[in-house]
Amino acid sequence: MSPPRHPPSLSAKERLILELLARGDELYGLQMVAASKRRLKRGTIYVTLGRMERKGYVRSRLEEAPPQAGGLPRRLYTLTATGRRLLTAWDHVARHLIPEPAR
Amino acid sequence: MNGRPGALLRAVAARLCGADVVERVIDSALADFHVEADAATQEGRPWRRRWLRATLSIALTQAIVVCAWDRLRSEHADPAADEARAVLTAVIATTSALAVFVVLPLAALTPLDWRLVPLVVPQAVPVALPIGVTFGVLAGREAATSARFRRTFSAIALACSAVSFVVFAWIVPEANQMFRELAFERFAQPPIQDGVTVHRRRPLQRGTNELTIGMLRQRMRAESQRRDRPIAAFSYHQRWALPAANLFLTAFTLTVIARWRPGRIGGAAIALSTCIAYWLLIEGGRQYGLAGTWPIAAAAWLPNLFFAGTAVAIAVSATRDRQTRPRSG
Repeated sequence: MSPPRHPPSLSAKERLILELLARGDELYGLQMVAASKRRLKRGTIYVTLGRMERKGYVRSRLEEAPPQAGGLPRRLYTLTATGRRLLTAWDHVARHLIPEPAR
Repeated sequence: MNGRPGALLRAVAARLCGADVVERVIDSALADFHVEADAATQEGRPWRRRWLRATLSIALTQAIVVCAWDRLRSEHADPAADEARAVLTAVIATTSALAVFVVLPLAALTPLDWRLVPLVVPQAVPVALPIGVTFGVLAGREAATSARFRRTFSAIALACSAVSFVVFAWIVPEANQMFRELAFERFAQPPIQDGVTVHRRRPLQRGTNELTIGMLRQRMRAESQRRDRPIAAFSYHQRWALPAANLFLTAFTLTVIARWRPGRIGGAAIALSTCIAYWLLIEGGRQYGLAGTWPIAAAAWLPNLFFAGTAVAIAVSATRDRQTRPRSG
């Protein structure tokens, strides 16, 4: 894979997905929608996950196909080392840039 | 998948977005839906199943639109072509501005009458377009081997030729005539009759540059009876030849960059030399044509014929090189 031409960027949705996956579990798309308390939508979660996988922030695997005829295997997502580092760096930057409330 | 919810949208996604998107995005959504829908059926909740089906359709449609847009953008992303188009635009704008304010007769009129500026702009267009196309193609040298780049620039050259022809054939002569009349009004002293200044507007007789292509054709036929310098005939053929320069120079520069892949400075030097050579050939053709040494049409088309011949020679030489080069392995 060729090195990225731009520094990594992180949208609000991507950050939320990284935070959910940083808890350590493998999650399905719909589990993330449910866990995000409606901040992630069914219509965009899969596209966002696809983009994040291309950028190397998450990785996925297919679970075994369910026994029903024509059933599709679900795709489980986990955080990669790159995604974890990015989340840590983002948290660090956010802590230093967001002003503290006045006392 | 036939008969299962989402089968039609999956087929649409496969067509519009590609297999990878179907595997990673569409199938992921469908798999999650099937699990949820089966659970709803087992729990005896048909309305929830219907609601899930409706949300699945919306979600898949949304995903297909986003992925198709992503694919379209990534397929059309071409930095070299973008740079070429930017250079083409910048050179056309700069050349037009230089032509209008420095080279053309506007520079001689001080103080500047702004009414005259739009009348001079059409004269700059047929000159600026081929210069812009030449520099533009050579700026996109990194994309020279791409068929899409060649198609794009051929279409640009064709459009420039069409615009240039319309401007050169009809707009420039009318603008020239209006320019002359306005400039004449400015310098001419109105006659005084019985102590009263008389503002009499007499139409100025049109010169060769003020004749539209139809008028030129008529004058050319009238001239053919005489033995003097065939200025109208040369001008008539040049009205066709100069707009066609966009196509000939594009073909030439595309052949040059495909053959030698010049660097940035080399490309700019080739573009500049090409434009100067074209101008010298115009002047040479005019002299030989008007002197009667060469046929008028050949003299007017001399620069285009020269660059077409050179492009063919370069292409033939490149093909021979490829055929005689020993194959590795």
